[in-house]
Amino acid sequence: MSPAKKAAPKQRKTAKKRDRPLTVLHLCWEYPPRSVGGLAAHVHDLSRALVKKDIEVHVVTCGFPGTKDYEHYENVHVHRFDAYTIPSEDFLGWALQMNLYKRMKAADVIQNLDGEVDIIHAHDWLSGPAAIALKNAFRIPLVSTIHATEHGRRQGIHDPFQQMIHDIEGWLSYNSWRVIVCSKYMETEVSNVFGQPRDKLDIIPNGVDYKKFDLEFDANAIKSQFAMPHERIVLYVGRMVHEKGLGVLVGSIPRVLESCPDAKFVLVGSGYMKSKVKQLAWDIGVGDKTLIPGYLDEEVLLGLYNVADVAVFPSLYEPFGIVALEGMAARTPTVVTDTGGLGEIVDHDETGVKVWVNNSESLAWGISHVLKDPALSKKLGKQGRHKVEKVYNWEVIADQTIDVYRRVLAEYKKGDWQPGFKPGIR
Amino acid sequence: MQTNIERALVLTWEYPPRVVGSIAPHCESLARGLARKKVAVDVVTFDHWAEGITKGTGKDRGITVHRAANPISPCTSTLTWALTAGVELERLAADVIHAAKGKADVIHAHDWAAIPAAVALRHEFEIPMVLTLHSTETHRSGKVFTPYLDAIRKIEWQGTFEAEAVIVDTEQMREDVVEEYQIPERKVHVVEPGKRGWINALLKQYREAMP
Repeated sequence: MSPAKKAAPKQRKTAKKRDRPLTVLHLCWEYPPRSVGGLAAHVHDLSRALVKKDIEVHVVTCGFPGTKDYEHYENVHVHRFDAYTIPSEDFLGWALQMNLYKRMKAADVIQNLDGEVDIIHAHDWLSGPAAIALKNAFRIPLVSTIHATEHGRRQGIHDPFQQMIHDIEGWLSYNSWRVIVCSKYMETEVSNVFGQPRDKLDIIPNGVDYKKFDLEFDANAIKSQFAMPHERIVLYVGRMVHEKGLGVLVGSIPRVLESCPDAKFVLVGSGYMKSKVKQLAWDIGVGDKTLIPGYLDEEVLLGLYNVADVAVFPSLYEPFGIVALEGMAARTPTVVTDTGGLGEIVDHDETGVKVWVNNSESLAWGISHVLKDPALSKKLGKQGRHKVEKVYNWEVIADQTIDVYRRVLAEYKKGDWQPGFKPGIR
Repeated sequence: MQTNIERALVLTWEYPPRVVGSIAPHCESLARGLARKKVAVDVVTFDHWAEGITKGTGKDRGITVHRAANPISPCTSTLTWALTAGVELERLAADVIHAAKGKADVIHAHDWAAIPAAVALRHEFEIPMVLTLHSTETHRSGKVFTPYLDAIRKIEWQGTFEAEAVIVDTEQMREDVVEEYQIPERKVHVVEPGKRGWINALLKQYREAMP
C-alpha cells in the first residue's frame, strides 16, 4: 500500500446480497431536531409515513454541534455530515460548499447499501447541486420537490444573488425525472418560471398531523390567557413578515368591530414586522383589541387553535398554506385569502371562507360573516376537519408519493440510462 | 499493482483554445504527453462557447476534450462559479466513466477550481485522484484571511487531503504546500513540467495511486 493511501483512508465496501424493500434517499438541508423553516417537518413527516408503507428511507442532511452522525430515528435512517465548519462570506457560498460534502456523504451511504438505492428525492435548491451530481454518478433516477421558488418568495428576481438561486432551482427541475409540487398554483409557477412541461409535474399536497389537535385541555384556562370570557378570538398564526398580509389584517379590525364589538385579535408568531404591526394597531385605535403574545408552547398553541372562534390567514403570497390546515384540523372555521395554495385548500362556505387578496374590507366581511353565523361556523369547522382527514393525510400523501416513485422506476427500467456497473463497489 | 494506465481523466477549468493563465497550456502538453504513451486521455473542462465533445486528431490523437458551460448564469463570485460549474464537469466525467464501464484509472485535477468535482468523483467512483497544485491561495492573495479566501483554502486543503498524490513543480512549492496544508511530505512530489521524463514520472505516481 502506498503511503498516500494511509494519509486519506477510505472505507472498504463489500458487495453482499440483501433482501430489500424500495429504498429512497432523501436529500434536505434541515431535518429534526434542526428546523429552520417548514422543510424539516415536511421531510420528517413524509419519511415516517413512507416507512409505514414499507419503504426504506435514508435521509442525508446537515449536521450541527450536538447532532449525531447517524441515527435510526422513528425508523428513518438519518445520516449527517459536518456543515458547521464551512467558511463562507455568504449563504450561497456556504450552501454550494455544503452540497459538496453532502454528496460525498451520500456517496458513502449509497455504497454502504451496495448501490441499492432506487430513487434519490431532493427537496428544494439547497440540495440541488448534490442531487444532480449523485444522479449523474450513480445513474439513480432523481425526483425533486419544489416547495417554494425564489421568484415567488421575492415576488420577482431582483439581483444576481437571487438569480443564482433561481437558476439552481431551474437546474434541479430540469434534471429531475419528475417534479412534485404542493398545489395547482405551484404547478403553474414551476411550469412558467422554469419552463418545465406540465406533464412532468405531479401535485401532491402537504399534510398535517391532525390527531395532535384532539388534545385534552382546560378551555377556560387557555382562553383567559388571551381574552375576556365574553370576547371572541380571531386567531392568526405565522411569521410576521410582509407576504403574510398582516397590514391588511390590522386594517380590517375596525370594520370587524363595527359589527362584532366582542372580537379580540390574537396574532401569534414573530418576524421583522412584529413591532410595526403592534404600532399600527395602536395608531388606528384598536390596540386594546389586539394581542401579540410572542412565542407559545405547542400545547398552549394547540389549545388556542381549539378555543379560537375563527382562524384567519390573509397571505399575499402562499405556495401552500399549511397553517390553514391547522385551523381546519382544530375544527375552527378558517378565513383565507384566495391566493396560491390557500385558495385551493378552502372551498368557499363549505370548508372555510375565501376573501379577496390584499383587501381589508373583504377580509373584514369574511371574519364577520363567520362570527355572526354560529350555524355556518359549526358547519365550516366540521367540514374543514373532514377534508383534512381525507385529503391532507400523510398516509394518503405517502401513497401518492410512492405512485410517483413507481412510475419513475417503470420508465427508468425501460430506458437505456441504467449503469453497466455499480460505481464505487468492487 | 496494475502496471498499465489505460485511461486518465484530466480536470481543469481552462484548456486551449480557452486560455486564461498557464494551466491551459500545461494541461495540453500533459494530455499530449500521456496520449503519446498510449493512455486514453479525457480532458474535462469548462467552456461557455464550445460545449460538447471533441476527439483530437494529429498531435491530439488519443485525446478527447469534453467541454461544459455553467448552467447558472450570473455567479456572485469565482467561488460560487467554480462550485456550480464543478457539478457540470462532474457530469461529463461521470459520463466518460460510465461509457468506459468504470475502467478509468486516475482522475488528475489541476488547482482548486477542479477540486470539488475531483473529490466528489473520487468518493462516488472510488477512482484514485492526483492533484497538481500550480499555486495556493496564500501565494495568490498573501496572508490575507477573509471568509471568502478561507473557503478557497478549505477547498485546496480538501483536495490535498483526498488526493492519493499531490504534484508540484518546485521544491519551494512542495515545502509551502506541506506547511500550509499539513499533509505528509511523502505524499507531495516534485515533477518539473516539460523536463525530460516528466510524463513517466507522472505515470509512476498514477500507478502508485492505484489500488
